[in-house]
Amino acid sequence: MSIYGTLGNILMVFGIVLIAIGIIGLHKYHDFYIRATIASLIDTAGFISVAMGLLLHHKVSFFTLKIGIIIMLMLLLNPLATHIIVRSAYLSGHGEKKEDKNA
Amino acid sequence: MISFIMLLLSILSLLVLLIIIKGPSIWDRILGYNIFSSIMILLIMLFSTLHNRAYLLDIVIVYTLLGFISIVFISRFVQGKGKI
Repeated sequence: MSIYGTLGNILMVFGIVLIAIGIIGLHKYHDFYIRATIASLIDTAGFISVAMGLLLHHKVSFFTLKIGIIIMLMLLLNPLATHIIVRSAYLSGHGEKKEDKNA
Repeated sequence: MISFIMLLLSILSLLVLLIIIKGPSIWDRILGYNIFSSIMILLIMLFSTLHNRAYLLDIVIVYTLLGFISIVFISRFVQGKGKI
């Protein structure tokens, strides 16, 4: 296993740890907006590190180009998707019941 | 090593399924669907690396785009209570 292989493995394990911590956090917090923050963290940080680790496993070839395209796509689309979910949840008045009572 | 990471990822995806089932409101379920699809994307990428099948990555690109578009329209649909 070349140096890049072990480096890739370390990065992938780090990504798995990130995703695991995020999912534990999801089970812990039951408020929707905290979960949305954690979800976007899992998607971008965990995904990118595992994909980068995967990228290091191969010498530069057609394979790594495709993985690079996927990383770029996910880097663009995931925060956008989470934002759209939270925006429409907020507009449809998801978590506002508690505040109405206090106001 | 990659198959070990795939095992871990599949266990994590089961935990995300718990969130989708347990989530009190529909918005938690949409969020869980978003995370589940990104973990599935990871699993497909790892599988295609394990067996050196480059054509699987084209499927992943299409699945990423479709997943994003489906989330946009699901949230618009639920927000509009049936009317897009």
